[in-house]
Amino acid sequence: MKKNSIIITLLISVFCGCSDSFLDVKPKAALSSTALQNAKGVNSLLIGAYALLDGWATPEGAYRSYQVGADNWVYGSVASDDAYKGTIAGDQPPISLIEQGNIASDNVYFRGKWRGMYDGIARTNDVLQLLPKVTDLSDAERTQIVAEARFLRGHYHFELKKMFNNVPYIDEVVYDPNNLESTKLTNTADIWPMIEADLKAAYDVLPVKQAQVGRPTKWAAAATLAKAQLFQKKYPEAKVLLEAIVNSGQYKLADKYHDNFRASTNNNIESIFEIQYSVNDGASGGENGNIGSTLNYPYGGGGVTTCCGFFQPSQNLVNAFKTDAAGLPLLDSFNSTDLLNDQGVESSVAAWSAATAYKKDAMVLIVDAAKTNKENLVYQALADNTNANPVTDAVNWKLKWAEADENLDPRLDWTVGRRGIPYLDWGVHPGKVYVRDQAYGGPYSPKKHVMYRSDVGTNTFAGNPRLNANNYRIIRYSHVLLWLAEVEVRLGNLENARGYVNQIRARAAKPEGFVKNADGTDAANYIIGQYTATWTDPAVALKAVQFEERLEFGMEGHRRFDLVRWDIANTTLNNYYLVEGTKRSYLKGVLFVTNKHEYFPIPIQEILNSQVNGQATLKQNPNY
Amino acid sequence: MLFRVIPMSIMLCLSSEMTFAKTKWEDTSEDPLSAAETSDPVSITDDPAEIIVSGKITDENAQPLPGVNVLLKGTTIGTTTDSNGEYKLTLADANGTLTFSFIGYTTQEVAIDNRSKIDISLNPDVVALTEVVVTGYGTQSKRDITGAVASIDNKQLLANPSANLGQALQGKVAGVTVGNENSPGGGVMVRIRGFGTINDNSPLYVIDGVPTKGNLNTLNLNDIESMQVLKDASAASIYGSRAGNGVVIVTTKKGKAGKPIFTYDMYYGTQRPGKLLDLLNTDEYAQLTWEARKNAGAVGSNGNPTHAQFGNGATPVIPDYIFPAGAMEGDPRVAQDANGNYVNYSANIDGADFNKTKWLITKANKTGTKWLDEIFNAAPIQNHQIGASGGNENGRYAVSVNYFDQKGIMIYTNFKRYTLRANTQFNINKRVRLGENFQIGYSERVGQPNGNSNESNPTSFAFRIQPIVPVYDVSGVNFGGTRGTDLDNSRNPVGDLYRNKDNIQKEVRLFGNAYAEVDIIDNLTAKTSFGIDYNIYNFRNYTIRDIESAEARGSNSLQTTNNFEWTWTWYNTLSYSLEFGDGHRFNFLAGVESIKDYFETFDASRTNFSSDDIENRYLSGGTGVQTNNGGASNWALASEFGKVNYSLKDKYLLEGTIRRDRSSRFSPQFRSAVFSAASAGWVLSEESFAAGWSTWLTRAKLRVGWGQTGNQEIGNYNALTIYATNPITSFYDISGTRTSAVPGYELTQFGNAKAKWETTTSTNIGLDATLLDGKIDVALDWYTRVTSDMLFPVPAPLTSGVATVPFQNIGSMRNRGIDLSLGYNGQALGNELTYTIGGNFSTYRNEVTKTTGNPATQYFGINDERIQNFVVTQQNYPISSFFGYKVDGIFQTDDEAAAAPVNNLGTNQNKAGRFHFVDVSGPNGVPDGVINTNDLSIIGSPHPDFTYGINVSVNYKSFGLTLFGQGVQGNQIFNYVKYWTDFPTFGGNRSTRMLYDSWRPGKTDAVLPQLTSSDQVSILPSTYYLENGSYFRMKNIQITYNLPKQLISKMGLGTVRVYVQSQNLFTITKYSGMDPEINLRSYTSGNDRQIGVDGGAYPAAKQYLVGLNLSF
Repeated sequence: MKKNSIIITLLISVFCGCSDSFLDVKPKAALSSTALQNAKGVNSLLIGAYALLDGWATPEGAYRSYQVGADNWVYGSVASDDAYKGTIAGDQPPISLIEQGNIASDNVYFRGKWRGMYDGIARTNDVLQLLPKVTDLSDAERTQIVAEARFLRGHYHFELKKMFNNVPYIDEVVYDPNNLESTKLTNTADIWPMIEADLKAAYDVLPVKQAQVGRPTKWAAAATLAKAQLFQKKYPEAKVLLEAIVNSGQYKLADKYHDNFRASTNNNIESIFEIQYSVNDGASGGENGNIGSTLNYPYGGGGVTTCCGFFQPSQNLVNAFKTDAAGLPLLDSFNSTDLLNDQGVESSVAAWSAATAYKKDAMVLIVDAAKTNKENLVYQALADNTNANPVTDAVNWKLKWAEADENLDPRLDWTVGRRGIPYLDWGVHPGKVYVRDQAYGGPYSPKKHVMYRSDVGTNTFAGNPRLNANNYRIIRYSHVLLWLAEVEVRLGNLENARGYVNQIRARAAKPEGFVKNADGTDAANYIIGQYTATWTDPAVALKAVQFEERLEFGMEGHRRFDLVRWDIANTTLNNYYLVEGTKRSYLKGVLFVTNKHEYFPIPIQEILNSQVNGQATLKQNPNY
Repeated sequence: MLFRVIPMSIMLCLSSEMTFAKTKWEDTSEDPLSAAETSDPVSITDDPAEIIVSGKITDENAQPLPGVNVLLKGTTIGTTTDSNGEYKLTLADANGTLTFSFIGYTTQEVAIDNRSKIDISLNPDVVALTEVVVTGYGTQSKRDITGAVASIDNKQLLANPSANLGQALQGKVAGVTVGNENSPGGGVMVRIRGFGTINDNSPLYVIDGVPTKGNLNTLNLNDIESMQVLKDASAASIYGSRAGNGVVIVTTKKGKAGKPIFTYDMYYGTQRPGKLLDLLNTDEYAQLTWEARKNAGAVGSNGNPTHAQFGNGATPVIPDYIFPAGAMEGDPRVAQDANGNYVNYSANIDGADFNKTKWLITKANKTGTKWLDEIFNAAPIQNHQIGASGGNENGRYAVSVNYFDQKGIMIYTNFKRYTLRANTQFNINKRVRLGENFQIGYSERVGQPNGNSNESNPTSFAFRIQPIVPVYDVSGVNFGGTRGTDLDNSRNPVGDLYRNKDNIQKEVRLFGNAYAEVDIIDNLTAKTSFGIDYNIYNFRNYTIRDIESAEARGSNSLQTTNNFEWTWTWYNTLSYSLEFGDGHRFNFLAGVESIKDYFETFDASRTNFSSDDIENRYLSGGTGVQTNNGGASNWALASEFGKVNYSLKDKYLLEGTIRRDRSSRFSPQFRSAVFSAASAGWVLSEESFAAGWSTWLTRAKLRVGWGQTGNQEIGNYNALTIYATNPITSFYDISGTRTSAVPGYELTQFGNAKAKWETTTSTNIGLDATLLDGKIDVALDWYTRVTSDMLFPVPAPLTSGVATVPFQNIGSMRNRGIDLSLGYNGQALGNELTYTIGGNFSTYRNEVTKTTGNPATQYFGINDERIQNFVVTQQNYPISSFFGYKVDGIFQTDDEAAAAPVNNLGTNQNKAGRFHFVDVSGPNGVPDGVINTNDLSIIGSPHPDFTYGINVSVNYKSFGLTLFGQGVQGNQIFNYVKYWTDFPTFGGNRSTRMLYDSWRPGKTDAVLPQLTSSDQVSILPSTYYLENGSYFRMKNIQITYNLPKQLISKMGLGTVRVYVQSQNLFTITKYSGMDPEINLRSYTSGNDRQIGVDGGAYPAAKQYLVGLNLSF
């Protein structure tokens, strides 16, 4: 009997099943929103919101980082007259499609940018939602957190606005992370007022200096707000803000133009807002470096890196740096002839020897001692059995490339890597071996974001030097000056505008800022001067200001957006495609379509994912 | 691990000693003296009525059977047979009946009839051995089964050497689709009756009562006694929430009472690559490059293309050296000293003079390297299994050790496995039984770097690297590569594989259960079983710099990963059987089960190792960046279930099951779900009206079943919104230090507290028939499976930010199909020749019947390829349909092109020699005369019309012949490899098709557009990539020979069987890729939305084997 009751008790206990606590499991190495409801938690979320300034969010599929790079190299530069996609035809075809005007809503790049920016916005909203529940913060701290979060939210929306125009504004009121329908808003309303409101709120509160340089100051907010107003052609409003920045006395142009493009001079006197990059900081793949540009380095040649040959400056951009005898840009005729380049010239060209009979098409290198710079010259034989001195024999030889010849704006050789010119401290650019497929992408290399050889090991990621800590200066004092010049032209104060432009040119003209050869001589024939004649024609003045912006900010991802806001994208780009198509066959026949291509299409998958009750809430942009 | 082994061997010792002790006792009892000493004094009084009965018990092969129970019926008087199968029993009289019983044999009752010597031959219990199948939580007689259950015995499973039990199922069971990665130790896909959900479609495996969904590579296939596939819900519903994709029940070999049997089974063979791709040689490659560049106008000032290797002439010139680029013999850069050494050779790629005055000097391979031939080679495979089994009525054992070693046909890939299994069973007394089944496995695998179907794996590099590149540079030691200009960026696949050869994935797995059964009263049995699945994984993945590559790695690095996971499953059941009246038979089963799982992972990495020496490849050997990660997860499941079977006169059969599951994966309010099923069978051959059919109909049973099952594969914390920190995504250098970042937090997962169970409702109608006295067997099933509340991570609008999106209950999906299997058993030549012919046929039609409710909703399967998404899941189409443009030939003339719709996908598309894209639709759903993204549509399907398997087995005297073929008909493959080999994408090698079948003026039968190096439109996903994926493959041809008994018994052996075998001897297919057996791209869960895409898959090997089976 006793035995039986034991068995029965055992059976009952076994058969009663498990209690609910057996089924309670908790995620590991993760926190709930409640656990973050304190000063430390909300500040961590705010850092998380900053973390997307560099563009890198949660990886989803390949190629993400290039789609959201903070410098907008694809959308601002490759999609303009500044740069080619570069490398070879088959690599990253979505960029080729953008470059060639085949702009479609299913291009993964657009969704990538959209993803990065809205992720940043969601993170700012996470901060703003959590903040009221946090008790261990002073009012001042609270106000500061709100201001920084709103600055970031304004910035991310601004990026979307200039890309896509018709986008929804997501704030902490509508956003609900527990309801994924909450952000399915329409995109028909103009969000400029909301962007301005966020930036204005930041401007009103933020201090003029921040203890941590990565945080925006009052002037960073002012500059971003002014930029937003320029996009809306609100010139008087922008002028007030921009002049306030100038009058603050806090900023000045760095003595050397190139100090805006090297890691060792990050956050310098000219910098107003910078995207902070860091390496060897615990991110396993160097993701906090300038990963968006990781493809944009010379391809081979035993020099800088071995990959990937993207983002090659266009011939048109290079030509823009030609100057006249007075050192002024050739505003109208700059593109009528090409600056001589080494297209089709192998890096290893043998020196000319009178003892050799050269066959047709053979190339030789010769040093012309008569030239001031003792230039390296490459000649191509025009006939068989040629052995005359190429320099003197114009019948049998044709000049293919000369190292330094024409008058040039010195900023060219900080913007573009080209043969014969020192490539930072990597030695002289050797030409074709730095380029992956010269026949396809032309002879040039990008330069501004590239690290110095002396940075390798300290400011570069240990596993891959292409990830470096050379910050992207999204807004610097030179922007403020040239925007002011724009504003003054629009407001009819042409001479003020000339003054601002000349400030920029004066800095560029400082010889200590020129690219130098190893022997200390100038690497090319740099001739740059200021506009000395009075500006009387508003159209000419405007062209000069806009041209100056191109020269100063080339290859920095602004160009297409500037062309659109200046309303000259149509003429400029269609002229570009017409001429450049004769040099790069894939640009032949490309068209910028007015009332369509001013903005990129809303990513089709996002329209599909915006459905509420089977109806998409997002509307495609016109003519896509 | 070791401490587990010891108890097992103790158990073995115990059981064999018991046998020994008994034998001894029996022996001594024969000694009259000791018998007198030990006997009851009363019994030796001279009672004339007392008799002694003795005899010998043998098995069906006339071998003595030890351990047989001999009992005088109706008493407790009895004994067991000794090691010679002999018994002796002293009885009061000679009038009783003796009962001879032995596990696995039919019990016999024999009247003594005044005999003193009774020899008996016991016959195997046919019902027990062949007719009982293991179904949920118990066994069932096959004739009582009413659901759709397929059974495979170990002979069938072992017919094809394979590493994985899933792989062994291929083609054997109607309705089961099997795919595998082909690389040794690679992943396997098993799909039962189509694709029931758009997330994870793997079945549940229940091995000796222990469920697992994990990797099965560490389990030894040779230990399996039988496998049952529970295909429909009426059979599988007892496993409830995890049975939505069917259940595979695996039973491992148990010992049988009898004298110890030792077995040795082995095979050894070679595997050889089959068809590879037709790619260009060096001359052809240069020719194609020139033509494509000229057509694109990518030419220099002299009108010719410029190429660092091939020059700048009207025709390309193959150089003598590729690094330095384009160098010819005599060039001072490639000067050799008196000893033939290259004076400018240097492997120091970081040197300042590298690529200026020093090079990794590499000759051109002027004829062309056949890279696929370089990486695919003949490779050995072998398997050795030693087993011992035996025991008696009270204790039985089966132990085995196994060694399996498969080298891959891809060089330096391999899989090795060592397993030890010990299964034991004990009868403690008449009512209590104990037992355990345990396996310890250790495996080592070297896979291909970057995994299967990846653009950066060796298979892909073998077609992505130019033929001019040699395997080695002039040093003969260092690899040749793409360092020279214009060689593109492929890595040397031989180099990649060589450098990866010591990166071994090591796994230890402990899998098994212990159980106890108590017969509480007659026919009422309680069972408890505790199972454990414990897994340890270690992988040190060391990456050596590929100095010869165009995009060489900046440094060497090491990542070490250590994972462990345990799952325990404890179930308790009560079963009761009842028979009464006129043929009423009931079986009841009730049970509870709880499962708990915990997984923990840790990985760390470092860079910059001073030496690549294998002894230095540990984390502490690195001097560079250190990172580490760790995490864990857990889940639990609690369930109660019940089952009732009713049989009336063995003619009318009913079965009902019910199960309630509660899972930690759902929020408390949706945690619980009930799954039920019912089925009925009607043995119509037993009806009186069928009596007249008995000449041809031996037995026929009609089955009807309905039931529900579920799916809970939604990750472990789906209900919760989670925040986490990660240096990659949430750190920021707010202080501008350049080398440090401040930690931040981010929302990493959106929670969905409202998710509830996905339910699959299935209906099955089946017929089992045996015709012509067992000559013909037929099993036919028609089914429909409807999945509702389908769980899917619905893409969230990115306006909510980026985080893991939760599974939500959406839509529904339907599979309908037919499974048919047929068997014919024949005899000829006066029964000396016996043969069986078996075939199975299955077909399913999959349709996503609803997604979000909007037919336009599209879920894309692949979003990381170089061309846009080409696999889509959409309402009214099968899961994972192909998506792209339709190509209707090639424009032959500019006029024809001009008349066609404007192509806005690219400029200059409407001209002779370009693809003619079809104007499928405009923005309003009708053709609009413009080719743009509106013309993307569903263009094909990876799902076959049907699949089939054919099995022929012939036995003649001592010879046997087995043929097994398997095929798939009517599916399409998206041959993504063509992106690389057929279009001007990267600068890798191209197909001969691209050179010879591209359009040229007048070439009207061209399949590819005109060679144009800048053409970026023709590569868009289109019908061009689609190919017919049908194939028939001779999976197995085997000839066996059983050595004559007379010969082997002299050697002291029981049976000796030798065989020769060929696997995958031939394949009939039109598919142009290496292998038409293309299934998933990746064999981890959640990949069923990208079926049938060939991204450079590892091809199946042809195998030639010899094998031996011994027993004694």
